[in-house]
Amino acid sequence: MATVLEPITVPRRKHKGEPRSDERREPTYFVICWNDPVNLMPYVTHVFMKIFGWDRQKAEKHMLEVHEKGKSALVRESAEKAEFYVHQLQNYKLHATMEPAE
Amino acid sequence: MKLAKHTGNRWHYQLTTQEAEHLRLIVGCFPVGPRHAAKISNTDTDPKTLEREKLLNESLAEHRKELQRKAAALVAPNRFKAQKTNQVYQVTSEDRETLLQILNDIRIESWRILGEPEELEIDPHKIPPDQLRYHQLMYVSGYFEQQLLENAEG
Repeated sequence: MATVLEPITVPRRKHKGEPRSDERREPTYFVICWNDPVNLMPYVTHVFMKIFGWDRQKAEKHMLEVHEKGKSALVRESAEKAEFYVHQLQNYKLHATMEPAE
Repeated sequence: MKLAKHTGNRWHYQLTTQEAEHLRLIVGCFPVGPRHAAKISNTDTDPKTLEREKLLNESLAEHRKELQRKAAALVAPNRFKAQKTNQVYQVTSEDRETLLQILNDIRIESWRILGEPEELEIDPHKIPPDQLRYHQLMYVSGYFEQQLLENAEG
């Protein structure tokens, strides 16, 4: 009597770079801080430390990027969180926007 | 103005009598001019973004009103204590944060009234007389911001 084999289900291999299902669902945004000639450098560093809880070294790195390159992408977040950070940064009068990451 | 003592939640700054007077005057000027409309995105054209922008502007207007409500108390006479020829100004960490936001709002809005110049080293003689006040406000608020942040972690 011949043995009947159960079909085997082979899990589909994920290709490199294929987005995870949650990434497909929710678009993400970069929170960008733009340069201006009037906000003081120590003030910008202070605000980054306050809002993101960064240490001085990281906050200064982003502050200098804003100053030297005209902008810095501070974080990449969901729409809701990015919006929250833009509100916080603008409360401190920094020029910040949220831009789609994809 | 310099940081004299920082313990826990309390900050003590030493000011000359003239500095204390200038701080009271400048905080008394808040708010300077109307608040400018803010943009939430430079590139996103999603209709939701327009709704977000509206909410952002409502939230910023409310925040400014809140700062205005707190401004007078921040420079009330009981904040300053005479000490020899100087004045000692005392604030909590929360007050200090509010004061920084007020001073920076004055600085930014004064700069906007001056036409948002790229170069801040402006010859005062070239400024129209009706705008001279904003040039002074921009500088003096910046001076106090720097002193508040100097030698302070956090």
